[in-house]
Formats: sequence, C-alpha cells, structure tokens
Amino acid sequence: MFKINSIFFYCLLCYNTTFSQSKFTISGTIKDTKTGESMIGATVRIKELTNVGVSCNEYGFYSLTIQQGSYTILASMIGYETKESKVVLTSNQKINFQLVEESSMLNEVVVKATAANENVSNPAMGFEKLNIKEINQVPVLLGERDPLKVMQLLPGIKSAGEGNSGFNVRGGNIDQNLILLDEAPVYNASHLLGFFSTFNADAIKDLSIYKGNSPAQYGGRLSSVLDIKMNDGNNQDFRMGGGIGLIASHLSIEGPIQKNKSSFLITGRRTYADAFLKLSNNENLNKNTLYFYDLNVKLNYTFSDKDRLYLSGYFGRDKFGINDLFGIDWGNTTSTLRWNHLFSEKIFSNTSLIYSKYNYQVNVANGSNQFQLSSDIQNINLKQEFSFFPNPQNSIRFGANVIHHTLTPRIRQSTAENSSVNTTTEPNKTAYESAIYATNKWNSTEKFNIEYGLRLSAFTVMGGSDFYEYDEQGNLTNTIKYGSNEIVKTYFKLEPRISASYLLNPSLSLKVAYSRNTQHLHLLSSSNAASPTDRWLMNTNNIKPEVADQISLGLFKNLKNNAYEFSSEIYYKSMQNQLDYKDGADFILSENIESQLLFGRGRAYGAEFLLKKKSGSLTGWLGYTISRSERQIDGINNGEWYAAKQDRTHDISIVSTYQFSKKWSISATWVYNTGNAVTFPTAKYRIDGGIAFLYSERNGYRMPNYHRLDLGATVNLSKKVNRESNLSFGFYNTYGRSNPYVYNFGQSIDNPDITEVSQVTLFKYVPYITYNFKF
Amino acid sequence: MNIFNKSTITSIKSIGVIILLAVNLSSCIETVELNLRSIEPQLVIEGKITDDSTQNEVKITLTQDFQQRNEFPLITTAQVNITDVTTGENEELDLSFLEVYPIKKLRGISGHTYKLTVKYNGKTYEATSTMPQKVVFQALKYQSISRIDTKTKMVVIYKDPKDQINYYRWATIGNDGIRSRAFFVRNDVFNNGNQVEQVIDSGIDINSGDKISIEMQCIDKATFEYFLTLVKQQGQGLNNGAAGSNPPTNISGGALGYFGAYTVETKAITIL
Repeated sequence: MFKINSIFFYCLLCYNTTFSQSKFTISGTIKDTKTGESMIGATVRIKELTNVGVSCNEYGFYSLTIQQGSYTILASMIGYETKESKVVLTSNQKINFQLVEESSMLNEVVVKATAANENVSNPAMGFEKLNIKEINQVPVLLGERDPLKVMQLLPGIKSAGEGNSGFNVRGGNIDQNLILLDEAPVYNASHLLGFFSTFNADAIKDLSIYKGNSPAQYGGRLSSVLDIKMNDGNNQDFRMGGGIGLIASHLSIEGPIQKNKSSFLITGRRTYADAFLKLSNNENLNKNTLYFYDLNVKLNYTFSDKDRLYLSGYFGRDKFGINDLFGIDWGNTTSTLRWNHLFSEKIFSNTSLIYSKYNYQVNVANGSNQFQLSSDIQNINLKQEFSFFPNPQNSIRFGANVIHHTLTPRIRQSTAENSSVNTTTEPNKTAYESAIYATNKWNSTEKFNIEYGLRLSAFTVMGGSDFYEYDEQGNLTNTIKYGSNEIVKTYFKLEPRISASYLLNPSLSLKVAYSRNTQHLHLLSSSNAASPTDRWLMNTNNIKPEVADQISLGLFKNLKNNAYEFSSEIYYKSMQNQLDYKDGADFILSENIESQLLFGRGRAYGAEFLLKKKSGSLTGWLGYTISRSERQIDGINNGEWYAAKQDRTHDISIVSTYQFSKKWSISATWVYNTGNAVTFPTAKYRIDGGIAFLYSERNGYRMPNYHRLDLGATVNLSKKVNRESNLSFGFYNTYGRSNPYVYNFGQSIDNPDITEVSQVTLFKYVPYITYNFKF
Repeated sequence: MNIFNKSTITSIKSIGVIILLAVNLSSCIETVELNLRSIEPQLVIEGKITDDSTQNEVKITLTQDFQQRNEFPLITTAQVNITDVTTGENEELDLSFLEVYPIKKLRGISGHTYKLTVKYNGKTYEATSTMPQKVVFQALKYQSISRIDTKTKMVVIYKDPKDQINYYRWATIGNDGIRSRAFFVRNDVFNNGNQVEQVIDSGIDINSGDKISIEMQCIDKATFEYFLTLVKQQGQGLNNGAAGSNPPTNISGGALGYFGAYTVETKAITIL
C-alpha cells in the first residue's frame, strides 16, 4: 500500500516539474494574529480571478498555483477582517497571513468581495461546522458549555435523550458516529450518565460534522463523522483562563514555547457534584463518590518552514461509588502524534500515529460475591496522507492507514480471600482495519464543482480466541480455534463517495451526493442512554460489517448578500447488517454473546431545512427536520418493519443570540420534537403472585412531544487588551415543561390490586451561573 | 449472576437521579395515565412440579388489559395432563375448588423429565422440564446493607456443585405469610463450585421482629431465563425507552407462561 503511494507520489513530483513553467505557486498559512492559532477553513482568493480560491486545510495551510502576473490576494474568514496582499508572481512564493478579529459585532456585516457564498458553491452536503464562539453563546444544562449539545440543535442530529450528549444522525444509532478528537476516535464521549460530554469547551477550536457524506479520508462508521479539533495553544503570549460553574470548574494555560512558532496548551476540568453529597447529612449519601475530570494537553513545535510536529492528548475519567458495596470507573485516553511536512509548495504531507483506549472497571462487594470486572478496547493507528494542489481547480488528497484493534472482552477477578467468585479471563480479540483512499475536489467550471473519492477498507479478524458456528435456529454447532497469528476472515469493502454542486446563480445552487460507508465495530447497548458498561463487538465470522448507502439532494440559497444562508436537503439511507438482540437476551450471564444477536436491515429518510444568520447583532439558526427511521429484523416484531427508537417525525430547533451592546448579549434556544418510539406493555398477567407484562409490537408507542425553552445572558465584566471576564447565567427549561424522561410500569405500592405508570421528569427550571475569565 | 442488570445499573441510575434531585429540586416522579391499547386476552399457563408436597399445580389464566384491576380470569375447562417421561407415569389433572389443576399423584424427582400437556379450545400446548439436582440450603442469615438507605437483607448460604451448571431462584415469604412479588434468580456462571453467601433482593421491607422465610429453588435453564426476564421487567430501571421484552416461554402452541420442575427447601429466621 505504501509502495503504491510512493510511486504515485513520485509521479506527482514529475508532473509538478514538467508542467509548471509558466505557473507559480503561492502557499503559506493563515493564523489568528492574537493567538497564532491556525485557521481551519479560512479562504484565499485572487481579486483578479473570480473563479480562483482555496480554503485552508486542517493545519491552516493553503496552496494555489496560477499563471504568472500581478495579483491581489485576499485572505478571509467569517468573524475576521479580510486581509489583502499584493504580489507580483514571477516565482513560487510563500505568503503567510495573520487575520484580526472583527472589532465589533454591532456593525452590520460589510459584504465582502470574497467567497461568502462558500456554502453554496462548495459541493459538500450534509456538512455543518461550528466554531467555539457559536457554541459558547448557547444556554446549556447547568452552565457546562458543551459542543455536543449545541451540535444536537442542528437538523438531522438528534439528542439521544433529555440532557444527553449521545446523538443520532439521520436515523442512525449512537454507535454509528465516528467521534474524532484530533483524529483519535473517542469510544465513549459521555460523562456522568451521559449528561455531559467529554469535550471541554476550553480545549476545542472547532467541530465539523459530516452527516453520512464524509470525504474518503474518513471511514469506519455508518452515520456520521464528528471531527473535533483542539486548540494549538497561543504562540504569542502566555494566557490563563478558566471558569467556575455550578457543577464544575475548569482551568486552562497556554503559551509560546518559541514565539510565533511553537506553543502548548493544557486544560483541565473537574466536577464537584460529590461535594454536594458530602454536605448531605444522610450518612448513606455522603459516603458515595461521583465525579469526573478531563485533561487535554497539546504541544506543537515548528522545526522549519517545512516541518511541524503536533502532540495532543486527552485523558478523562468518571468515578462512581456507593459506599464500599459498589464502584465503577471508566474513561477514555487518546493521544495523537502528527508530523506535517511540505514536500513542495504543492504537496503537503501529514503522518499520524494515533492511540485511543476506553476502559471500565466495576467493583462489587455483595455477600460473598466480591469481585472486579474490567474490560477495555484500544487501537493504534498509523496514517499517512498527502494533499496535492496541482492547480486552482483541483485539490487531491490520498493516503492509507492501518489500525490495530485490541478488545479485552471481560476480565473477572476475585477481590477477597473468601469471595465466592472465580477469577477468569476471556482471551483478547484482535483485528486489523486498513484503508487506502483518494479523493479530488474539482472546480470544473465556475458553476460546476464536484468532489469524488474512493475508499477501500479491509477488516482482518485475527485468531487467538474461539470462534463459533451456528445452525439456522441459532444453536451452537461448532467451536473453531485459531492461533493468534492466523487470519480468521478478511472483509473487503469498496466505498465510493461523490458530491456535486451546480450554481444556478452566485447565491443559489443544487447539490447531489451519494456515499457508501461501512462499520466494523458495533456497540451493544441495553438502553437508549449511554451506559459505561455497554459492550463493543468487532466483526467475526458471524458478525458482518454494517453497510450504509446514502443518497441526498440539496438546495442551497443565500439571501441578502449572503447574510442569510438557507439550505434544504432530502436524503434516503439504506443500512445492512444491523444488529439487535433477542428478546430476553442477557449479556452478563451468557458466555456467548453472538448467540443472543439478531441481524437485519434499516432505512432512514427525511428532509432537513436550515436557515442560518452568521453575522450581525442577531445570529443563530432555525432548523426543521421531518424524518423516519425504521428497522426490519427477523425475530423482532414478527419480522415486520418497525420504527427505531430514535424515530421522531418532526424536529424543530431555534437558536438565537442577540448582542445588544458590547457588554450584554442574550440568547435563547427553543426545541420541539415528536416523542421517541417506545415499547409499552399492552397487557399483564399473573405469574407466581407477581405481575408480568405483555409487550406486543416493538416501539409501537410514542413518548409525548418534547419541547423546551432555554434562556441565557452573558455580561462582559471587563474586556481590556489582555483581560477578559464574563458572567453567564440563565435557565434550562425556562417554562418548566414536564418532559418525561422515562415511564416505569409496576404494581402500585399502596394498592396491590392495580398497576400504575409513574413518570420521571428530570429537569424543570434549572438555573445556572458561570463565571469565566481569561488573562 | 445478574449483578449488573438489576442492582448495579439500577443503582447507578438511581443514584444519578438522586443526585440530580438533590442538585435540582425540580425533578419529580409522579403517577400518570397513559392511553394504552386493549388487546384480545391471551392464555397463560403456569405449571409447577416440585419435590415438596406444596405448589404442585397447573394454573391457567387469561391476560388482562393494563388499565384494568389485577383480576385474571381463570380457565376451568381445559384438559390437563402431566407425564413423568423418565418412568412413563401419567396423571390426568382435575380442577380443584380453587379452580386450579393440582398434581396429586406425581412428585418431582431430580433427574426426571416431566411433560405437561394442556388442551383447550381445540388447541394443544406442550412443555417439558427436567428437575435439577438439589443443592443443600445450608443456612439463612440476615445483614444490614447501606446503599441509598440502610436496609435489612436476607442472606442464603449454600455450596454450589462444581460439575454442573446450576440455576437458583429464591422466594421471600414475609411476616404475614405472603410471598413477595419480587423475583430473584441467579446462576453459577461467576461462582461455580464455591461456597456462596448470596444477598437476596426481597422486594419487601424487613424489620426487627419479623419472621422471614426464604424458599430456595433449584430450577432448570428455561425457568431461570423466564424469571430473569421478569426480574428485568420489574427492574424499575430508568430504561429510557429501551424496548421491554417478553420472557422466553418453554410452552409450545402459543401460550404465555412457563412449566418448571424444581426442588424446594425453606428456612425461616426471626429478625432481632
């Protein structure tokens, strides 16, 4: 694979030298003046050539090859003042830009000569990008700024439950989202029963989400790719920032290692819900443990104009305990080492070595059952990618990677001498997931843009543990043993991706896209809300890769000189090899999980509408989604199609921020959606004195419609050159709508002759206040 | 052992909710009415044969809509038959004045397989169950356990046999002589072959002065799986929309319920 790459790469170099006599390349980086942070997605345009422009890659690098001549180069980014640079191009030139933040948001936006219609002309579909400033304005539960919660307010992305950071994209399951933090996958992105995400807003630069139409460099999950980039750290000055909130505090330190060149960033966050427990005079409560913390670290070092090294790391942990009887702790560790190298002005290379691990540990002391259970999943990924900018019309990306997966299913250890629990281990499961890909973004004419690519993925299941064969009834017929270096099976999947846009006029375009995604890791979840002990499974001889094909059509229109962006997309997605478990399945007791599984297919379709205002004193968006998501699995619901639990017909969100002075801004969010599909009992019967429930059709009922208004305000207390502080406060669920979190069915405690339903409501009128500072 | 399924996961979630309740006084739990559909009543068969002189009976009832009172119509016109497949002995069951079908002649013997046949309304329902070996119920004690609040819990002591997979069910009989409606089952996946002290979730408040009996049953795999699902149904966990599921029945022909052959041993203790 690497060999093919290097041959291809050599060809590119030849091509480069042969055809560039009369053309020259301008390349460089775009950075924020104040912090030195590279600006992802900033655009570079040539005033004199209307159809020529590029955007910076994820490291803030751009490269543009044009005919020799005199030009005015414009570098721009929303929220920043556009910079101009005049150049007489007679040789290859390196031009770095530093952009200054717009001084006031009060002035109506000055319409720029630059590509403010990027969203219209870009062929990308099902794509949204949020920067951290947008995220920080939105009022949230308990004041904990949370990128994932804000993202859930976009069309097509639905929260997995009240206050939950888990999400479903276009009818997909929670585990079908690839969540990347500086390229490293995060297996379990939630803290504290899912109410908070693992992403500390202090450490995050921006986040992009691809709703099933990701370019070919991404792969491994069916529904979406959520690509989160950490800040690099300020390479101009030492800065310290932090915040004190109701449930957590956070602190960050950043600064230059070498001014203008290299920097570091360290952020930390810890909750103190357990401090509230300690205050309780209930002895049983105050002996409990419940907290989480996050630590993000990033270093970058510039060796030369051509070489830059990045090291990023994340470490987070949740701890929970009930006296000495029960304890669980879980968390993710990720680290990424990246090396950027410029082979020439036109060829940008990035080499990444990525590690990610999720593990949990449960301690139980109950009677003589004293033991610890632990499980982890980890991977090491080596990735090489080249970006090649042959001319302004094409930007090509190609690369390859190999991931080594290790899954430690469950180790059970006796923790006391008189414990009745036997210590056992299940052998590790290992696999290689490799991919080779190439993609080209081609601006073929002023009106027609296309991005097309191909990804070939291979998943190699390695031996070392037992594999099983079953008959048609699901009975075990054969156990096969493989040596740890033997290959059990390799799945190859070809994944084409294409998206195109056609501009009808400079502010109106039609787009179309098709993509295929495959998924080789699967999460078995016993409930809708994320649980730390949910089990990951890999492909085996029985579990086949999940495959999704998605086709979408879109209409993109900008209004009032690009001040408003409107888009509408319709999509249809079909999914194969979807997993669910049999009625009455049990994953703790059964030695053999595969025998508890059922396989089937899914389909999801819908229409999404988004109207966005990105600048001015009033900013925000209005989103509406109408959609369906269904499954058909033999053995569930008599083999008939049924609504997936995340199926919600209507979904509306309004997000707005109004900056009415330099000091004050207010924000409001309103959401409304159809209730989730749920299974309720339809009848009951008596068994041995107790009551048993009879469930009929799967997900045949609906939770009530959900709606909620959140209000927030931010007041800037001081904003001097090097000193900022603000106070945010607000209310979650301001009008106190009683949205049911869950219904419980049971015999009435007071009257055993009847059964009753109790409704649990979690959050009504939840206030918050947070103080943030930076100096 | 399904330590996760009920106790721990419920604990994680209930503690979580308690903390939320503490931090945020606006959370609440209230009784509500839901508009649940009504369905055609279905047949429920509960057949039990034990090595004891009690509980040997077959009870046939119908399901009831959720909103209705817990009154389940009894079926009194079925033809019910039990066979000891191992010996070939057969018994036709007659309806008793309590409107159930008691097993009078046959008694459960460990290792023997029993077959239940019910004929009703032109349909035949069949199930078999093999009575497991009896595991000695060595002792019963109790202890005080503090989770969110402090509760007295019963503890059963037994030695699990190593050479077989064992399935257990414990029923609590309260001070008033009434069986607790909470189900509790375990298998020996975690502790095969060991001396075990098992804490029981009885589902009732146990106070000093109470005389509590625990009935230990050695059940077969099908009965275990049946009750394990009922335990989950009773879990009251914050399942948040997770699909509820029906217990897998060992009765063919489309009836609900189960048929189980099991051993019984009871011990009682007065709480001081």
